[in-house]
Amino acid sequence: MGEANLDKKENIKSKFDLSSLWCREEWWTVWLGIVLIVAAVGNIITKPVLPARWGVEGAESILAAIPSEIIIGMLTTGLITLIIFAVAVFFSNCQELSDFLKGYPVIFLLSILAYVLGNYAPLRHYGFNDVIWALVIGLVISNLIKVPQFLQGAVRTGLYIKTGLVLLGASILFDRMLALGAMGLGVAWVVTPVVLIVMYWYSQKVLKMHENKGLAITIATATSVCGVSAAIASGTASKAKQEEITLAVSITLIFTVLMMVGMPAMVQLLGIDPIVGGAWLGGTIDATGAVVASSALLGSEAMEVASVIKMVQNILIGIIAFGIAVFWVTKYENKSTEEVNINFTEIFTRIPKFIFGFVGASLLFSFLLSEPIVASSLPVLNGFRGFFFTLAFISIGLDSNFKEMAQMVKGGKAIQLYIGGQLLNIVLTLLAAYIFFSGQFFNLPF
Amino acid sequence: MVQLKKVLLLLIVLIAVGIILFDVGNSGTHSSGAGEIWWTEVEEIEQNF
Repeated sequence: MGEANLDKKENIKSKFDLSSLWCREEWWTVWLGIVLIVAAVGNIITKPVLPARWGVEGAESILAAIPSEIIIGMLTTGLITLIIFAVAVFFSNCQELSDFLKGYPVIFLLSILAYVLGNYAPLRHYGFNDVIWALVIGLVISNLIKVPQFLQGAVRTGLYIKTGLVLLGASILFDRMLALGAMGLGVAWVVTPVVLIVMYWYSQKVLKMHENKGLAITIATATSVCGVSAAIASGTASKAKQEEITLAVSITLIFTVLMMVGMPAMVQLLGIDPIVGGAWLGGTIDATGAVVASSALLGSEAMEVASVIKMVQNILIGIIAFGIAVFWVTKYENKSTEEVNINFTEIFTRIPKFIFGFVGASLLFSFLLSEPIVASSLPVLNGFRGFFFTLAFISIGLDSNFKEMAQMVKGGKAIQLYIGGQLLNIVLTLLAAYIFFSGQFFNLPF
Repeated sequence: MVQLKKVLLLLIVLIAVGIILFDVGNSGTHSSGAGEIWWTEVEEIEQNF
């Protein structure tokens, strides 16, 4: 028995070998992220050219989404992304390269279609952005038509999503967290972890979502932090199924629409001070754009407070995603090998590798690069990150089936978890907003 | 209980659809909205720093 344990231990310890650094797709997501960051910081690449906003004054027609002058730029975007992902596919499994090259142009065109639909301003205001359309397009093809064989080679959710997450790290700027001083942190950083932990505990102890731990943590993070980006980061860190990420994103979308309209009305109805109301909205509404749109109804000061609180809260994604990845590796993945002590090497071997790039990019952009370099390179990286997430959601849609998603909705546990958690979030954030922003306990900095 | 859950879910979806169809928040008067999920693409966020 002792010998068997030793064998198992040795076996697990020998899992990490240097060749995985260039043979595994997971590591390639980090390398691609680094290449893009270096290229953006060195001004070698510009923002990806993608369809423009339409359905607004001066650009009413759908044709305004793709004016003729951007077609070459869009094709260049397609070519650059094809090349960088092809390098990753080549090194991780060169036999799959030809299938990837055949399928990627179609995935790219479907993403462009998602951008065109998602950039229709009136619907985008209510959440129908490129990510949602990407999901819809993918789901329609896979569930109603059937995914053609040649497309399968380019359906690489992990590659797109993890490379996008490394780039997301660059926009998590820790140096901004003190923008509103201790008060901003009081609302954004005290309530958020409490809601996250209580929601996860509730999902496991009360709702007994033992089979859907990934779904539970993804919903909990989306509710407590910031919707879609938090769902993607925490879902990937906990190795959640793609259907679980899809469901969390969908639930978030529906409730964001309700909250962005309902909460400002509630503030006015209850006669809450607009500054306290702004802090309340900033800490509770999931999507950042929805926070801005709804708090603007309460006035410019409220919008300012709400925006900064949301931004400070968004920074938490980095810490939470890292925490979830480590928690999952040490708590759940260890179960099958209980006799092995989890040490640093084990954590390093098992943790999703994008986390290193994600945290590294965040630290680099927060503390090492100068403000002008951050300001010039971030829009470029954000453009690529957004596009990679759209590619990822096309892939998720193409790879998901309605039956599995319906199974998760069955019993209503996911929605029950979201509603319960969001109610707690609303109550605790109102309390924190009152304590920190009513002026009764602290002096306001404005 | 199951029926109640179904009715509640249907009600939530219907209210969301109603808001979108009747545009209660009046999207025309705002520069951002629920579709702007990446905070770096919301202009007002940058302006407020």
